[in-house]
Amino acid sequence: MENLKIALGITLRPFSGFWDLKYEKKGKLKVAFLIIIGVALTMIFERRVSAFLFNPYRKLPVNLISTFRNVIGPYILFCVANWSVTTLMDGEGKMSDIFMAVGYAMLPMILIRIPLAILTNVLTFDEAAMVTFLKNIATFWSYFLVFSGIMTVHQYGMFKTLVTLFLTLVACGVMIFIAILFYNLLWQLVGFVGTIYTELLLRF
Amino acid sequence: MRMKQLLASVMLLVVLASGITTVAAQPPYKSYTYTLRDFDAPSPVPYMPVQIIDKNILGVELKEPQDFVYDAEGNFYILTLGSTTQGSASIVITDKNWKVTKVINTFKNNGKDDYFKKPTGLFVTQDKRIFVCDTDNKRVVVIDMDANLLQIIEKPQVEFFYSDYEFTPRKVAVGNTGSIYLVVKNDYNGIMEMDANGTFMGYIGSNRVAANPLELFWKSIFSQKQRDQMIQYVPIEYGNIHMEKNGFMFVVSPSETVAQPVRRLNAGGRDILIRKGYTGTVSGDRVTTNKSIFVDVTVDDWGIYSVLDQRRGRIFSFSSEGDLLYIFGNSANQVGTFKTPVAIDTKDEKLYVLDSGNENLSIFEMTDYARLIKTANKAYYDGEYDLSSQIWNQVLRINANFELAYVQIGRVLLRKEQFKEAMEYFELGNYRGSATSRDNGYTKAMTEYRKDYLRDNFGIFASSLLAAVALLWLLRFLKRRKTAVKTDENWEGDSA
Repeated sequence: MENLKIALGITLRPFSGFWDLKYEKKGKLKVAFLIIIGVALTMIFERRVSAFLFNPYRKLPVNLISTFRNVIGPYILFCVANWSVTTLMDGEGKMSDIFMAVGYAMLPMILIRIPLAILTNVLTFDEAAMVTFLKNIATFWSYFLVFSGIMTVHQYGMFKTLVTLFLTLVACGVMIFIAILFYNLLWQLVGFVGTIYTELLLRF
Repeated sequence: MRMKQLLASVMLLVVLASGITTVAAQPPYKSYTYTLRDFDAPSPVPYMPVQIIDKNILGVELKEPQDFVYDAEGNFYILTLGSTTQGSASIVITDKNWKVTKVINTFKNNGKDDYFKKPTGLFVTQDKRIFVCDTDNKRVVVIDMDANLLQIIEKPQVEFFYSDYEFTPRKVAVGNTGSIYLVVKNDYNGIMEMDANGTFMGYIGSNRVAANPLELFWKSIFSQKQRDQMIQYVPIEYGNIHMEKNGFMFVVSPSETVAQPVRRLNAGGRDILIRKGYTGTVSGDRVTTNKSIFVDVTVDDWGIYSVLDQRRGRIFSFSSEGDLLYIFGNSANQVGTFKTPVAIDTKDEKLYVLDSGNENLSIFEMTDYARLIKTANKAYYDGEYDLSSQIWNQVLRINANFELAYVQIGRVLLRKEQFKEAMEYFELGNYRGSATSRDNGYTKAMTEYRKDYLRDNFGIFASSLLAAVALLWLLRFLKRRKTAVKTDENWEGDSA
């Protein structure tokens, strides 16, 4: 209950909230992870509950693994990339601080999108603009929270935060590139070993 | 050993026999529709091949046939391209029992024998005048049934046509008023219209090229050379005309890139084709490359039009509202498939497709499935909504994957103001309704249902709202009293 209060406090008053999170040691990594899992569950909830008009895929099966992967994967990627960038740029945040800040920042997604999913059941296309608007609000609010969270946790100014966020995205790209490269090379290696094995098998 | 052989031969016979029956029941092509999300959904066979008319049945050569028509008495006229030898291009005229009554390959022009050279288009008017697009001779020849020359239409003597303009007519159609409509090869202006005497009147159905602001901007700063290198956006070239009895024209453009390959033009050349179908577009296969190439179109007495795709030998049928009904056909050499289909026409419940590659005319007959769809459509447009939804239910019993059937039942229910049921059927048909027009579909049904629901239950809503306000007020009152009592006690305690 206390944790929820803190999380809501961050959502409504981000700068002092994130300050407390880090320097008053009020944040818990567990809660941040719970929120991220909550976001994934929200996505599934949306698929199952929101009305046919706004969700033509309602009847199609939900892939749990890919949903979780699509939420948790980017989260970890972003946090790690941000940590790698900010460590080089005198950021004060530790890895756990970043995970916490970004995790807590995702709360508006849950707060807005779950009631919205229920609400769509009484809406028609005439109100479609409202639905899009609310969804956008949830997204931009979360983005703003990420921004202010990064800013507070690392004790950056506005400009430096923007620069690091940009660099974080670049780092994300680099990491994905290396991951794909690694994956490819690994498979080539596996293939190579496999070929040698077959060759040996056929020769002797 | 003998026993085994006998058993084997019996089994082989059984296999062969069953093979024969399945071939008879299954035509050598697939039939399908597209769902709202552009997935192909298999459907029962709408048309079965019943007869193939080729040179064995006719008794005359059918060398690369290009076009065919039929007249009111059911006589068929088939135009063959022929070889390079003079007089081999001909019009084969048969009666309705496919007995050849006449072959026209020559006519008298100023006392001399004249021939067609690679003719590609044919039209027969109600008073039995035969229009032939004599393509390589760059003229349109009009003859009567006895091959007497009536008229020759050549390149119009109008200043509009510069000297190197090639007048190569490919297809011709004649309206009720006698106006002649021509599709001319490499002429991107539209369909050429002439009056009954062959005097040039103008073009109809020409495409307006939309001016793109960004493009205009680039053009304004580019040099002349750069501008010439930009892609030239030319209006479309038409491929074929189908003249309807009521004077409207169905036209197709055999182009992959054109946005609207099928159009229905009125006399003024405006496109009046209704595209309110549940899939939204009137187009071919949902593929990104090697798109369908429409070479001919025909429309039956119930407004259902069928478009012929030359690339895959498919026939696409749409209702008059633009709903995709069924697709069938294939490219092959078997009975009921095509190599290079060039022309399509329909009469009663039959569909005729002329194949220039296989050099034959395939006749297809409607199956019960297509007949049900046809009658359901007819009932709907005649205003017999109950009957129509009944028939659509029968269609669903044959093909439960057919989204359109659900949508049509939903439309009927919507008209009958049974909004809740309409919503159910629209959801089954995956039809959300278009966000722009909002005139039907799930969203319309839901808007009405919600309105009705709120009106019917206004009392409950209003009273529960009042009750909630009252409750809140009461709670607040109680709380306030409690705190008041508390302060009283405190005050007493202090004094003690």
